[in-house]
Amino acid sequence: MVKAGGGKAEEILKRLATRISEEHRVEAALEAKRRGKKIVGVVSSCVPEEVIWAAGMFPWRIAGAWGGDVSRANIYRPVKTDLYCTHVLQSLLDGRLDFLDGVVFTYWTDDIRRLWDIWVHLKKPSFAYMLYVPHKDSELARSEFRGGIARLITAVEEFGNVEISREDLQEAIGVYNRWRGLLKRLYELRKREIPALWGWETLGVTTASFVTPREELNRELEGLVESLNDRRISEVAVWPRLMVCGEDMDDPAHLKLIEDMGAVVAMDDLDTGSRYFWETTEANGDPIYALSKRYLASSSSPRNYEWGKYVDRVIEWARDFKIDGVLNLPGMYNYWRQTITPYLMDRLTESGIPAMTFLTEYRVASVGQFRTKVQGFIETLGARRKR
Amino acid sequence: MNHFEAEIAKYERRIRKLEEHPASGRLRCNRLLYEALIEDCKENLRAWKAGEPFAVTTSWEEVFAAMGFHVLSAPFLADRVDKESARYLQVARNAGFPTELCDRFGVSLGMFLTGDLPRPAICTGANHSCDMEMSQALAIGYYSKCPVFNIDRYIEPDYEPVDYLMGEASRLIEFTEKNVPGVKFDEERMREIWETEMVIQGYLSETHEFYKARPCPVRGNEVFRLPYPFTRFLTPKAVEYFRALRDEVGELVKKGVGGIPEEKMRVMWLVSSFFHFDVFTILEKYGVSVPIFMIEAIPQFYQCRFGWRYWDESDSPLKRMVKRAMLNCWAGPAERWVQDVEVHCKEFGIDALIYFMNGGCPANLNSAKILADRVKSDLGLPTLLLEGRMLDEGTFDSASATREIENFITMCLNR
Repeated sequence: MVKAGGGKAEEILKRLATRISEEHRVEAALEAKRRGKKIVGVVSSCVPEEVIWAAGMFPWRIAGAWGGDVSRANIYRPVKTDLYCTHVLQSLLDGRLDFLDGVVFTYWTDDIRRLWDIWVHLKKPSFAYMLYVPHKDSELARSEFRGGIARLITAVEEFGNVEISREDLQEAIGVYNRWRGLLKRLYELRKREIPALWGWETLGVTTASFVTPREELNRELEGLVESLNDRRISEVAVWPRLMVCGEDMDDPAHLKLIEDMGAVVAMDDLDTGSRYFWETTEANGDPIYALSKRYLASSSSPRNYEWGKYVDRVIEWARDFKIDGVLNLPGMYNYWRQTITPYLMDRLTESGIPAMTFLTEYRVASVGQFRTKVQGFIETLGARRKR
Repeated sequence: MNHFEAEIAKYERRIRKLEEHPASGRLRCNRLLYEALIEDCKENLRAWKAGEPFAVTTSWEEVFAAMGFHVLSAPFLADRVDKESARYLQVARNAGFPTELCDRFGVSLGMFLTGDLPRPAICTGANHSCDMEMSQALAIGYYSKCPVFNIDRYIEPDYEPVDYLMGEASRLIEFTEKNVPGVKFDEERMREIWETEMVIQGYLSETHEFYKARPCPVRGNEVFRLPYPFTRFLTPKAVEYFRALRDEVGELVKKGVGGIPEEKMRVMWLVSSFFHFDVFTILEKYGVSVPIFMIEAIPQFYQCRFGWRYWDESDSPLKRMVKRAMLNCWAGPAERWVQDVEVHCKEFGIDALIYFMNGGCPANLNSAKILADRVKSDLGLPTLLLEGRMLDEGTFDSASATREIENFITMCLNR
């Protein structure tokens, strides 16, 4: 690997890439809490975190427990249901989320909706808000979702006994757009023949955003992006360049496993990665409408009614990032991704992009089998390349 | 044999069985139901042969009927498949869909993939009860190469705008008229459909009032019968069936006749059941009646809570439909489901609940424990959470299911 930007950049990268680990993820939140800030848990990439930030609170996106024991969660959630939700519930029931003052969910899937129900049923914490996100992006949906965000603002104001002004929202939009812009620049560095970052490092940075105050993160990212300009992950180009598609994948170790097999994950289609930040929010005009527009545009995913639009973007990314193969990794019992999979695979094949689907667990598990499957895919790509 | 031909053969068999065993304990009016279903299948066969347009939908049957479509209600069609379900599920799995998906999804998709149902001209789903209904429409539409329009219902725990869903319904009509040549929404036809449905719902509402009687006048498997979407029952024969059902059940109540010999306990059955295994006979052995089958759309099927008007006289038929669709409680927070269940537990004098945890359905699976906790704390009622698959017989173990039900009933009766 060619290191650049001095040890400082490597240090920032290392720090960010491990921030989502169970050991470190609560540190910034606990520190903020000590300073009197309210910590509001966020479930799903479609919660407009700007609203919480504008209220002077810390939006802390929830990752689940990474361990194998989900016995407490299984009291409420049967085994064959979405594993991300099960692992989040396990964290809650283990008391690891007791520091949260509140939580905001979106009505993203049936599983997440019912996780909210369990949260309410258990009455912890007392502020548990549910925001509906339309399944399509239309003028009607934007207008209704604008109303939804306005109601969220009122609820957060009442909860925190604060007022959120238009200027507060505009400032929040500015801070979040800055963050998105910096991550976009980071992703640009992955387009290079020899990317500046490994896929697991990049996922480490995007998931660090879950648990790091935005202003602090922006400062770190500014230093990092500048100094990564001359960085290369190796002396020679790494082949193959893969793109990974999936949901709720918040442990960078998943991608490290793939990259340890000799590939590089040069792009992702993850709600914990690119789909978390890709679109920016219009800075002018009505800020609530601008947020509605931004979050509906960013909801392009298997959960959206327009499968074609979502897959078009996956194909576009595959071309832009010169991807050799796509690894589609639906989580077990994540039904939206599982049901779109045949369509996604057909479309990728028609577009001449080799693709493979493996079911994965939320936590890193069945490592040997996963490696075997990835190795098989890489070798298939190799055979195709020789032809 | 395609699906409609298989259905005709099945209902003809059932009619013969009723004739051969008139004292089997089944309601006499079932004959009318089977005849109405045969009529409907024959009409579908004729339309298929004539190349008339079919629409696949999960909850907007009336709108499509008012546009001149023949309507295929995918999940309900799947429910009625008998032995063929294993074959359909396998076809869907071979296409890349996982085994854990809801059986209704797999079976209905398999029916289209095998060509046992006509290729639709349009597909529609909605988030009225669960995510699967939307992805089902998208998958069927993709394989049938037809346009898809999914309806979005905006639902917050304490806020649900009628206008948004009306806007979506209007866009559905616009989209359909644009994408399927020659179809046009006929408001007058929609009004006629609504009025006929109200007659049928009136009969159903009265019938369900009769089910509250002690003893419950019918066996559990009669109560478990979900009325197929009403558009399929708009013929005079179908209306005659619902009237006959009300009259026959009313007659039984008047005579004090129970569906089972000695009613010792009353159970609410929830969500769904094994369609290939008769759980009601097990319950009957213990003197357990099932006066109500509770699913998410019970108010919209039976106009429950009985006599409750959820629309205004000034509303257009489309708006009434929209308001009815909003009664489906599975789309919202679990609290709505809990409240609907608790109201009906009280009204039907329920002693215990059996909650069928239908595999592949996160909306019901993840609310089961909440509901069980709540009916216990609010009403003091026990609940059996029974895991299973509706249609996938390959994963079924009758001995375990029987034991679980028997143990639960024994426990309840010993209290």
